[in-house]
Amino acid sequence: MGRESLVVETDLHRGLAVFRIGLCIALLWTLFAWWPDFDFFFTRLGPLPLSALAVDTPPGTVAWSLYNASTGTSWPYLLYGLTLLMSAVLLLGWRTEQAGPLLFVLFWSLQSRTAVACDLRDGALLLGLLFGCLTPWGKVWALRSSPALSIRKGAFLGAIASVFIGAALLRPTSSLAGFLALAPRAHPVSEGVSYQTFAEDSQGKQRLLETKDLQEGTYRRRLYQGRWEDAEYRGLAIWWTYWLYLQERSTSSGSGAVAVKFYRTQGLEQRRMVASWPLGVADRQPR
Amino acid sequence: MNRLIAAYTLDRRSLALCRIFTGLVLLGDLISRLDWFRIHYTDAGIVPRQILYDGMPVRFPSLHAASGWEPYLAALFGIHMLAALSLTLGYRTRFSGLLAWYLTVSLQERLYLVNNGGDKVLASVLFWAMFLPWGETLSVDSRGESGKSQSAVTSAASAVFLFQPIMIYWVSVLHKLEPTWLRGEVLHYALQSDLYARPFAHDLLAYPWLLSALAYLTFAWEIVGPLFLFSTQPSVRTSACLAFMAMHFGFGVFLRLGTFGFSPSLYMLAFLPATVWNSDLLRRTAERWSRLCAKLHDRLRPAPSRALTLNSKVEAALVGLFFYVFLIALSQDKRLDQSVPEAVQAPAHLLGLHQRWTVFVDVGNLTDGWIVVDARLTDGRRVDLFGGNSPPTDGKPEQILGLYDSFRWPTPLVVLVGDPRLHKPFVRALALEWQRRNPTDRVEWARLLFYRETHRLDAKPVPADEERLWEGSPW
Repeated sequence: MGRESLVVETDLHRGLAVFRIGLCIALLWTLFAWWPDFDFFFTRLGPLPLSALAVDTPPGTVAWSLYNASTGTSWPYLLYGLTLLMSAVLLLGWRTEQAGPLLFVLFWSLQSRTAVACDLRDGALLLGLLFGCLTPWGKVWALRSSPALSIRKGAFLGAIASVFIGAALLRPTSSLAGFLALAPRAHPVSEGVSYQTFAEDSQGKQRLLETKDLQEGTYRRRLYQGRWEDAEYRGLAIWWTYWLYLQERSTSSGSGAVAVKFYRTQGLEQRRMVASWPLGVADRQPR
Repeated sequence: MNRLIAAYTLDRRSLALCRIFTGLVLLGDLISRLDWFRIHYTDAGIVPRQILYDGMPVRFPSLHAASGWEPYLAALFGIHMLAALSLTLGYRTRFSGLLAWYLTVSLQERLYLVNNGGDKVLASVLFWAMFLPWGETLSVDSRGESGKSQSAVTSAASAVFLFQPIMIYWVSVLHKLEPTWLRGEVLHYALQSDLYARPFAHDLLAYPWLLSALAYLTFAWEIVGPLFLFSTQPSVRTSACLAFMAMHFGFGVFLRLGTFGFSPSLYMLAFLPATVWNSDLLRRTAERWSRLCAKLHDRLRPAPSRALTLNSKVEAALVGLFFYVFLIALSQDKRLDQSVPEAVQAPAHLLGLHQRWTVFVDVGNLTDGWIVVDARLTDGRRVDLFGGNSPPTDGKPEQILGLYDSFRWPTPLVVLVGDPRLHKPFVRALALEWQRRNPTDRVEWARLLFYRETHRLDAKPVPADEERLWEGSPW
């Protein structure tokens, strides 16, 4: 090997190591940022238990996720902890050949569990992880340098991954999109949109639902920063459980509400009702 | 003491025989499940994951529950079959054994309604055998031979392997200390069951004295028989093993018990003493198998595997684990006033070792009868989606399980009758299956009927009661 090619290869390895470290820092930041809302979005304590995500959807529209593999209460926390651990392990560069793919599966599972809570930023991190695993990014600046995939093998696997992702976005093979949890993120996210939930009393008066859990605190950030927008694309199944959740909150706060209306607002003028649901009628789905 | 140690000494060739048949039983089990693949395991089936997640907890992390997408589940079945085949041949035995165990329990957890005792036995064989050197002879890994093939295996794992089936029989005897068994009436009721008994088994009802005798014989053999498995006399031990195999085979002949008819025999194969290998038939068969393994070894060239050694800590942990599994199995008796807290039972679920040996206990109150799914098609025709008749017939059908004649159906049907959440998905799954088989038909409305039968000790027929379980559009 000539001196020039050696220099190029070393630079490549350093560049990849920088990418690995940067990606892991971004992953850790994302994971920690998710933690305050973890119960809400990723466990059965929130409005999206697994049964809601699997409700009467055509086969293939529910994504594959390790989080779906068990209904045990500690299972999501175990997976989340493992994801954090693997991110740290990959950051430090220990057994990158095993840690990378494992982290990819874990992070993919986390996003697929509640795809409505994810956006393109999360998708970009996932893709970075997927393709990073196929490169020799653990050669330098790593605790334990591990043998990486050959360029040829990496390119071959990368091509397969690209074909899969591409196929998922095409109509004839779109069921793959559901399986890979790509579909919700394929929709554009509109700017400046917020959601408001109103309770309606027996006189037809509407007022903003005084549900502290929803209006204040940690959930507000997600709700008003567009995380819930994608939920519109997931059909009524999700609204249904969302109403159940609201009903619970409404009842526990003693607001005396008889109906809940959910508006999508873009500016003061453009308010559009997304769904409404009379409380206390257990067998009705939102209109 | 030496005699006790000799009792749980296992011959390596017998262990290899157990491995080969375990792989084959698993393969056969998977093939039998393929018939009902779509309707049992996908989201278009009788228990979509929506219901699974809602009220039927999935404790063991199951890859089969991770998605309801058909191609994904088909891929898992394919991998599972490869693992079973690999285990049979003894190719990368430890990895294939681990994979086969995981996928088996994962599959069983996805729809545990269709499981029976035989599936639990199979899962336990796969688990405990991971700690035994069952791939060190008569395998591709060992090139069909091994310098250690003549030596025996004595370890905590071999002791646990011996005690597991004994535990099954003795715990089940404790559950059977109830009036139906003690009065010798269990077979009078069991053989009247249309769901569980095979049609020709009804002929035995004409001989009540024989049924009582067989019930008492089974009861007595389950108490005394395990003691003979401890025997160091080869002829006594071989006879005991053969007697247990015959007993399970007998169960399987008269009742729709599926794998329970032969999977407990897998343990018995491992207990066969070294002397059985002196027989010409077994020796010649083993030689042929060895030659096949040697050929495959030369083609596949598996990585050399290290001999399995267990240190004292692992052995102690295995024994502790077995006692825990035993206590959990013991605690499943309905007569206990307080059940064991879920948290205490969780590790047993997580290892796929949660066992309940209440087979045919309180059989006098067994739910029995037949199902009719009376459906109206868009062209006005009426069909029975379950029985296959068009129009649905009145009265008891000749073929109780209709289009779904398999040992995998009675238990889900019994559960279905008592669980309203399952009624609509059941009808919907049957409607989808009907439309798949008859592409021009479209189901627009259906009603689910159950004709409940009660049985008398004297086997005189009692008119069935009609129960309307559900009615509406299945979509």
